[in-house]
Amino acid sequence: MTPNIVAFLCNWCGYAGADLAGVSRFQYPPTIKIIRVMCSGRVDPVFILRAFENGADGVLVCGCHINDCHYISGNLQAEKRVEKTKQLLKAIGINPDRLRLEWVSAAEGAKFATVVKEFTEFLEKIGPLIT
Amino acid sequence: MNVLKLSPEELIKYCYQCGRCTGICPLGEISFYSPRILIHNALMGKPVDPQRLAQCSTCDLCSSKCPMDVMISEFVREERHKLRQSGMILEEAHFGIFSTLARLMAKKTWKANLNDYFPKEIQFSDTSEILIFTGCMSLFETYFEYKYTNIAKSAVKILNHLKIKPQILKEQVCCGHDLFWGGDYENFRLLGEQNIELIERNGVELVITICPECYRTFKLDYPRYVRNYNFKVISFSEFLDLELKEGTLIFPYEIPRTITYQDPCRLGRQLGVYDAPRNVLKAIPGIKLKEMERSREDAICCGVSAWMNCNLYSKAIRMDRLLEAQQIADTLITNCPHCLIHFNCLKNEYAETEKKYTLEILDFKEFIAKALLLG
Amino acid sequence: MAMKKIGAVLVIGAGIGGIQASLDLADLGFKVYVIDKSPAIGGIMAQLDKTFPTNDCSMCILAPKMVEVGRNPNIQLFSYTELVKLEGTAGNFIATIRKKPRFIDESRCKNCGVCASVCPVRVPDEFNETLTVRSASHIPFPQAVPAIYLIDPEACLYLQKGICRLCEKVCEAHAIDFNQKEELLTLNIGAVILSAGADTFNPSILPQFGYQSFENVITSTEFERILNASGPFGGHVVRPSDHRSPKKILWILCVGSRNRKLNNNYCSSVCCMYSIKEAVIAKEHDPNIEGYIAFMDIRAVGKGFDEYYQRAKELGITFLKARVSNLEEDPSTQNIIVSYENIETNTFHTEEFDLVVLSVGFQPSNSTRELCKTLGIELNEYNFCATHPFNPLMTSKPGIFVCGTLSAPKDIPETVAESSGAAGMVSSLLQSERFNLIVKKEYPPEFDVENQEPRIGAFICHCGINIGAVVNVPEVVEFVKTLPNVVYAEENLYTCSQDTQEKIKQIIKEYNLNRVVIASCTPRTHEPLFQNTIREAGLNPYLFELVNIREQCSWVHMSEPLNATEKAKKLVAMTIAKARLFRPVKELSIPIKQSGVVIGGGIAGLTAALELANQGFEVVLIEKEKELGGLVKNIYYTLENENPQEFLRNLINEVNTSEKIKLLMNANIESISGYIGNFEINVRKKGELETIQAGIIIVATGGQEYKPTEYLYGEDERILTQQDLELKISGGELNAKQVVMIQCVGSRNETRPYCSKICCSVAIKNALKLKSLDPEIQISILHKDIRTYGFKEPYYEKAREVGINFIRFDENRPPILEKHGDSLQISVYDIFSQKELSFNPDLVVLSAAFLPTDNEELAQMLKVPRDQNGFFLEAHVKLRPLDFATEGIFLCGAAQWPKFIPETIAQAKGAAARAAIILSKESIRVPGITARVNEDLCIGCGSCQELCPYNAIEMRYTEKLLERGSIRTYQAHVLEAVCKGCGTCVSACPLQAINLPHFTNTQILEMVKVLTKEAAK
Repeated sequence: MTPNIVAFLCNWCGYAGADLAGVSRFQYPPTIKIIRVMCSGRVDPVFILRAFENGADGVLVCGCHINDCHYISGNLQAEKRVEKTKQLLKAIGINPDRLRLEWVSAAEGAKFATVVKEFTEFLEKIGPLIT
Repeated sequence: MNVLKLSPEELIKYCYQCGRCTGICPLGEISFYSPRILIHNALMGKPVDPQRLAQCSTCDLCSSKCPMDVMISEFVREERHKLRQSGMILEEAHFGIFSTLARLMAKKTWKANLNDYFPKEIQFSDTSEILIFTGCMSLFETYFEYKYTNIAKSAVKILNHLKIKPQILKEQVCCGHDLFWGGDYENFRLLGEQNIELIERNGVELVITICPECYRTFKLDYPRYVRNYNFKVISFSEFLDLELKEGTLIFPYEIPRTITYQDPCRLGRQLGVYDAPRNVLKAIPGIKLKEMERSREDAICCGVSAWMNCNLYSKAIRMDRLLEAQQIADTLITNCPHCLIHFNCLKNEYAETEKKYTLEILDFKEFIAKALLLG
Repeated sequence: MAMKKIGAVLVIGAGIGGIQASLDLADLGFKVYVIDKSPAIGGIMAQLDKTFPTNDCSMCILAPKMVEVGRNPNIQLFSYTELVKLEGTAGNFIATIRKKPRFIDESRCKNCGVCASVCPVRVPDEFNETLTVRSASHIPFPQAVPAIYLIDPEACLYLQKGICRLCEKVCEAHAIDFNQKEELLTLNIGAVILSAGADTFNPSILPQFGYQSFENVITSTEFERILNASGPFGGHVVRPSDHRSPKKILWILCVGSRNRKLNNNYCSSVCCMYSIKEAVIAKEHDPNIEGYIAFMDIRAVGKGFDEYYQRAKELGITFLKARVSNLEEDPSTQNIIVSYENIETNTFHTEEFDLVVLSVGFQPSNSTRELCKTLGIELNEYNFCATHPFNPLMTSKPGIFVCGTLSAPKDIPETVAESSGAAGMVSSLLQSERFNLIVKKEYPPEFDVENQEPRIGAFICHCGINIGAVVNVPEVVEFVKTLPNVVYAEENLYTCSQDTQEKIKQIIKEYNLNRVVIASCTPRTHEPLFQNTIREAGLNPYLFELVNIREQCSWVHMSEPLNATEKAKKLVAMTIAKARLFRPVKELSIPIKQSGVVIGGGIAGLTAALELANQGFEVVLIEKEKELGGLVKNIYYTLENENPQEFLRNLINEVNTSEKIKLLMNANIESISGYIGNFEINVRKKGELETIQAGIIIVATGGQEYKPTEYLYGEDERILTQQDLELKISGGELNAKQVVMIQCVGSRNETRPYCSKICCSVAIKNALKLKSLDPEIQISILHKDIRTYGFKEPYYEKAREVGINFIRFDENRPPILEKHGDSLQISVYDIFSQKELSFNPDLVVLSAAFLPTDNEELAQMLKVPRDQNGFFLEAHVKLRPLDFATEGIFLCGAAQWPKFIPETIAQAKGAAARAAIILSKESIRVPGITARVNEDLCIGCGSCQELCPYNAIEMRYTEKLLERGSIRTYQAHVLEAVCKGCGTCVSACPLQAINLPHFTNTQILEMVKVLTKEAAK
């Protein structure tokens, strides 16, 4: 089974980190497809829930580390919303670990690749969301 | 209640365009919304304006005044269903998160889980014949960041106080009310089947609902649109009223407050439960229960159901209603989580200078729990 | 003959200082030539892992600025270039520069790295401090600007031995050019900014540290690279000798600084903090690490520094008051055996560490010395560029300005502030030439595509072999052609090449395209290029989107061509789905009131006002007192023995005579409203209310000395603060014989955990003054650390030289002052001698904390934040030290943090320059991607307003018409000039009444749908 992961990456850190992974040729599985947003604070719980509703196996949100947000505090909102969405997922019986929030800086290409690898392995282990 | 006898399509044929519905509709006063015209257009075979369909709060104030007993809300829902069948989706507030969650629950590929939701001191029994159905309360609490609702926990605390350890189905799903009223019958049925099957399987005799929407759905809509079932359903207010009459529910503490009660459209007009909550509230020593001019059958609703049509018009209705309550009471008791959320949203909205609304808005269950000092 | 002034500037050195100066100058309306001797810009900051005290990722905050330098049409970047000579005078110079050959054609290189991958040579990599290797053909680091490779001629087999040329064969862009020669170019410029920085000290010349001999003794810069995720060990903290995780790491401070033998008597100002940061971050990486810092004085003087120091202690970093005596290597383990005396405990230790980091300081570089010689600029005794304390950004030669570590050791924010200040001074000098040499791009009018069916053109790039070798590009093209609304699709070898740009424009016309999707590399570098192309073809730039199938597809799935191709299709399909929903986004233009307001009439405010006036703008200066001058009114001499009163008199005189400056004295601000370009300030003066319109506001409200409640202050006239003392000295009314000064009174304690920065130097200043007036006087200074950073350090040395006593006390055992009868008695436990000492002084001087002025109300009116100590809080402590997060409001001087006069002047000039960027324009364009409110949907709940980090949403109370009647309600209104387009508000709105163009809810949901629904099929 190949998991399908939808990722929302902020332009300044997460996306830049993914770029650096590319420039550094860090290999990771092609399970992940990236949607670029300007700030992780733009990510709405509904984006995440719709992804699951439509059949995504995992959703990844990446933003700047705390205190590094390009927009001062957007990542704090992202943190709050992802936490909230995890609770909602749990309440309706979806494993909240299918949703992951990671702070990935523009210098953390290796971390990004590792995150994708680990997340993919985890999703492979727990199997698809919709069978 | 004619609603059970005839289909909405048949019912509207009785309409003779008298206009009582539009005249009484709180939206009619401030907008061009007209139930009468909607029906007329439908009867003429003209397309129904989707925006107007979304605008109706399905509160049934109109139907309660209709001399021909046309159930306008039912008609509106049917029309929404048709729209949906044609591929059109009506916008919902909160970016449609609650119907998305409901649809996710309708997929039977996983089981819902309420394990960590209730605090440890709350007691349940897996073998109880009484079940408390908590609906989407945990979702609301999470989404609204525990700002408004502590309803389910209060309700169970009250039951425990009455020495009742109810069953709770940790795998319960949304009753489907909002999907149903948004016209999504397919997913509504999926949810209904899950709930009925689950409740029957667990040997339940009595289901106590804490949300009027669940109550209506179980009572009226499951039998018609899903299937009949072998358990009884009662609202929390009615249940407490019975306990009061039996003498098991006693309020030992004095609560000096002037309150007024907001009749939820589902519980009041649609199911006729007016006295039960009032009886319970009046039994609390020190309580002065004042009635708003428009109450019981004439009650004005919070303006929104099924998360549709939250806009300036429904806000105008809410503003009006909240001021009405504020003129006579210091506390507004609601009995539907939706009323509670919507009125509190208005109360807490941005205000540069002083807050316009000073009254406290509390849910019936929470208020009773407080009156019993259950925290 | 008077020479014509030239509106162009040469910036020499493109570290963070040069970068900031270049960006500010271009924004101020000048053509900028920036040269750097390295092949990539960024300087030392590019090598750093994190920055103190916020632990910001250094590259993350620097890279956008580097990209901006590379991209700005009015900044011409010459990397790998040096100055040969400079002729002419202020206003009109001719500079000759020498551009070294890269052996790679800059216009052709696509930064794909194929040349490096085939290069057989391996040499040490300078960027990673030689901890890794690189090939002869290389790019200094992945985020390098310019993003162009170069061939190191010393290492290249062909250039050295005439063999190989492998790179030439594989470069599909034909960029390799072994015939490149160095080029001499001349530039006509009006001014020069020197921002060439300093080197870090090379510890090889101090054999006692064993830097060359022991593998596990490294410099702090090497350690930065080790910490870095893109560093030699991928961010794992391991030591060089065996790549094992070290347990005990020792940082040795002051390596190469505070050293008389080397003539480096100065303090390097940054090493204490970066060492603490390195220890903290190392522990973050690996909790097993034990960090030890051997220090002399911890000089945590900046904003948040002392708090950071305390936090490090709490985290378990051990601070050893010790100067290491000896280092040896255990040959079996390669551990380092360190001997030192712990001064605090008076004990001698021999201790083994797995890794020793030498915290090296700043050292003027030889090449900079040469540069200054070429320019004929004076150096100071330590070979830093000489400046005058009251004119800190000016070199000895008119028209040549200086900023950053070239003139003194300093940290990043101070460098950035100086760089803006230097840009401002250029702006004053060349004011008449503003905008004369600036190119302003004109585009054809945009087609109206609003009601057209989407007609999408897609261009899929091979990027040589970078994409094409993994992703089956023709297959992607065929797939794209099947998608709805796609009317054209093609593949390109390099979509970014100049000829393809022309072709894209042609195809847009030919096929009547109204949307363009390009699948190639990252939008972070290439989006502007393609947006420019479609604008030239008459399309709004937001009718375009880039799909990244290189960095995030072919380069990361190299061994999975089939899956990579499928993923590429999905990504393109997703973007095409979004493209169907593209709407043009209009950039907005906001009119600017081209005059400013400065709040506060101390030297910061006076300098800022004067700078703005010199740059040609009207200014209103608001002072609440009846007199100008602020704190400096109480300063009669400086540590350097300059006369601040004379300086202040001149400054006030200049302000008074300036026609551009209007003074409002005794004035109280009652309210402030508006936003960038359009502020309205209501000022009450003697009961009369005046309304001032201004485009910008500079906050310069200064600070004040704390009036101690400690040490019997106010109860005995022999107990003074430093300010009281200075007043008495200048009045000649002192005849004390035995003086004791107590440091840190009211700061570095629980109430005020911060260091007041200036008191150590002020105490030494006054002590030296007392000594000079009466050489017999006995002075003892009781302190926790002596924090004479930078060039203040030599005065500490001088104080010891003239016999002033320094007594270090433990922060938990502060001195005790008692009054016995008429005599004062101070007892203190002296750490140095480990003895309880007692004094009977006839004068006690308290070095009282430095406080901000009462600014709470002003902060509320401006809607700007203050830090936990009450000082105003800048937008970003590292890179935006002079801006508030709220656009159009700036700050400088002691309102931001305690500081000395030269620092205040530099900041004030910098703040004025930042403000002048706005004032120089009649209107400013704000990016089109700002939140938009649908007024029909908004019910005024205020959820969006609550969480906007920029206060960009205003709730306005309005009457709104309903179909019947009306309703009075709040309504969200976005201040487009203030909104930054993060979109955080969008998800807060319960009604989808607020949206972010180009990132709308519908667009994103469409993309989600393509990635999921269709994937399930």
